[in-house]
Amino acid sequence: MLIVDEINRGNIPKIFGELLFLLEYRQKAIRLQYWPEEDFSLPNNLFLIGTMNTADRSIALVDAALRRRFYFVPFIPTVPPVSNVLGRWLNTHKFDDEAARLLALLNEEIARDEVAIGPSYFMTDPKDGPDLGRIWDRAIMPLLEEYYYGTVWEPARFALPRLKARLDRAPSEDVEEEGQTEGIE
Amino acid sequence: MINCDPVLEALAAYDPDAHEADTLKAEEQRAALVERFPKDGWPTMALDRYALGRSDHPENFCRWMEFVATELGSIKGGSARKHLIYYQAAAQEWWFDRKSYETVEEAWEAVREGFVKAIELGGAGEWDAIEAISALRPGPALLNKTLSVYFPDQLLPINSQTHLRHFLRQLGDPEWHNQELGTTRLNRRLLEGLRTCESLGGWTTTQMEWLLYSSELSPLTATPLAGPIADVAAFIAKLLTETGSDERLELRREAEDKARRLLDDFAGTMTEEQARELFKLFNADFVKGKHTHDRFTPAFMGQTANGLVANLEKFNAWTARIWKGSDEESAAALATMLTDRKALPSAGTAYPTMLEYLRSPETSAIWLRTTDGGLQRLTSYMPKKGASLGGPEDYQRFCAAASQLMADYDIPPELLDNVLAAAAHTVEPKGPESGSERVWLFQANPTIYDIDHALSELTEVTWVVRQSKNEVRKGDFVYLWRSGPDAGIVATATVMNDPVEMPGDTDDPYVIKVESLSKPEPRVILRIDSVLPAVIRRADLIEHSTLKDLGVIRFANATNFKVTSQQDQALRALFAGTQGIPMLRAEIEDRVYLPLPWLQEAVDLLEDKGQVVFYGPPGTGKTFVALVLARSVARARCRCCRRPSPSLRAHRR
Repeated sequence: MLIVDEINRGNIPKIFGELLFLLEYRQKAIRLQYWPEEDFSLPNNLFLIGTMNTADRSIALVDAALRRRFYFVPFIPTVPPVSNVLGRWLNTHKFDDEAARLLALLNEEIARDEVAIGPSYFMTDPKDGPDLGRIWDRAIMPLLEEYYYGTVWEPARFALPRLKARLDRAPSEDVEEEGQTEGIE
Repeated sequence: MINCDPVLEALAAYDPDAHEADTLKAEEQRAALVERFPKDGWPTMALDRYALGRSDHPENFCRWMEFVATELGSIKGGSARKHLIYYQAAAQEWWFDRKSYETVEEAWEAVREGFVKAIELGGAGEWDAIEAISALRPGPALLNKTLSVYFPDQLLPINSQTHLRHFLRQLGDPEWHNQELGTTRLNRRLLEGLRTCESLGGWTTTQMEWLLYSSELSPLTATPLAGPIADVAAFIAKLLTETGSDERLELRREAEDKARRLLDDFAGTMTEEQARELFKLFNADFVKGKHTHDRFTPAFMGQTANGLVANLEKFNAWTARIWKGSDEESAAALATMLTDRKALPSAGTAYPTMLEYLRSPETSAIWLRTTDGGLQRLTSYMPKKGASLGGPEDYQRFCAAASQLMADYDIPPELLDNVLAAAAHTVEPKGPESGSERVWLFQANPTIYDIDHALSELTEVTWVVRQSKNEVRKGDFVYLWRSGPDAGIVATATVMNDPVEMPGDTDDPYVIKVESLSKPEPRVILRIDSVLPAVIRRADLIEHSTLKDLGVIRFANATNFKVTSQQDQALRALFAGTQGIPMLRAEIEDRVYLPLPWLQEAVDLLEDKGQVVFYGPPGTGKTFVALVLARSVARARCRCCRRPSPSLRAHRR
């Protein structure tokens, strides 16, 4: 099992070379450019998981050739099952679910799946980890500022007090119901 | 003492210019190594400077020896134990011989002292004493490479004991299998032998190494023990009736007649030009619609031709004695030349037997390793043991068998060498199940060979072929069986070469009982294709209606068993149950907070295509989930984690 983290950060054709062909034609044997004397084929028990960050604008996403060779599994914070991860985690650890509801609101406000905020920022123990305010100010806001760099940056839209105020206005039962309908079948 | 003829043959086919860049690169690497790790730095060398594995000390001696200085003879692959001491990054602890030393400091002290002593002995020319240094005994290849770096004129850059024995055997040294000689002394023996060959005067050890490995003498291109050709009549008939064979016969006949006339007129007084013209006529051929000059390549070409005319006086004297002498005189001269290969340098067996053939084409034939090998596959003719051709009596036996073959199958003498060469090189089509490779089961005894560790650390292993050695062939499929209390099939593999006779590698760290695996026997290299997650146990196979008849179950006392196609199919069906990615276990859900069906789908995608990408914005757990899935899948599937490339193949590509 080979894990290639941030697979889109490198020049895939250059790094993979003949592997690109072999990944598509798993059963075939080829002669490698630097070792042409013998057939080379991939063992059938070699599996590869790549991860790809969709929020980074500085790097290209993968091209069609690579897309064809991989299955793509989305990890989108607003879509189940990832949208339920934080709730499940808070629930398992018997923490208040406020963070999950705030995150849902925040992602609603951002309204762009490719830069939505993932749950792991909030998966810290509120007792000995950083509190919500610090996560918000020191991790989430700078990240959003980066996403909005070069466009209209309105920090007030995403500020914690504003979202908290909206949360209080909304009946919490509604949010919970929403969470259930989004749940896993 | 070695026989220089095979070296001469190798020289004839060798182009030193083609390897100049490689030999220069080797010299550069050697100089860089000596500069970084000077001889006099050894007494005070720190362990971190020596040992592999400490990521904060990348500039260490062992890394240089194994991975950087690759042109100085390979010691790559196999277990890291050959380095005597190394740091196991995964376990975060030092590996050293814990039976002999209490602490790593103590081990390093002994190893360092060993190297200091070895370098001192090397400097004094006392090579025999070096192998007695006990601290270095488990690392003969590393020791040899080290010494050959510091004393490049005194040792060949060949570090594998198996290869050294192979070369010595090819060159006719009877001591090749002397188990008392270790790597260093074998190396010295081979070098001293090569130094007696006049044509290698002035050669560096690196050039000699390249010559050996790029020649037919190389253990990597050793002639396989090809079996006899099944249908000799059909084989010969096909060759004699193929398109162009009439033209070939006519052209060869014409060239041979011209050669005879040239010899009649000038044998004994030839100029260099006439001699070269003679060689050209010898080599005249007709291949694929074209006139060529490579009938006996590399004989009578390049360096062998140059060697023959270099001493024109001797050349003329011997030519005259064989060609113009009476039958008795001619036979005596031929016998002398076949006995004393130095009588006429570069003549080998090719030149005298070519003259003999031209004198009496019906009853004699040109004697080369190729024609000798071809005759073995077509008739019951058996040569003398050993790699090089024998003396006059052997040639008589060869000629008797060859003329019988010509008579039996109506082969024109001019085409006999063609038939023999084709027979030597042909690969017989596979047996009854033609088209599909044959299937074997090879047994390992874990008290003799540490099969479990070998499988978890190597991609290729060498295996003895004691049964069916004429049938096991490159490309065949092999099930590997481990005997003992938990007996069963542990892995599958592919045969990488036809069986070659060679002694066991006494340096192989996985061999437990060296004496059981050291003697020269036919061996193959196996590429390990898969290590089974769980043994397919003998106890279960006994219950199986088809597999209870597996050879290894019915008569366990052998190494190589045939597997019938029914048994193979049954085994494959059993495998289908164990192959592939196992189902995820429910506990995983509690670790990643994602539902099991969704995770299982990701794994199914992985199994289906072999590769998936997890994508999404940061903080969504892509990497974390990938790691958790990988661990849970890999743990259930396989116990191997490190598979370095094998030394044999890596040695010279």
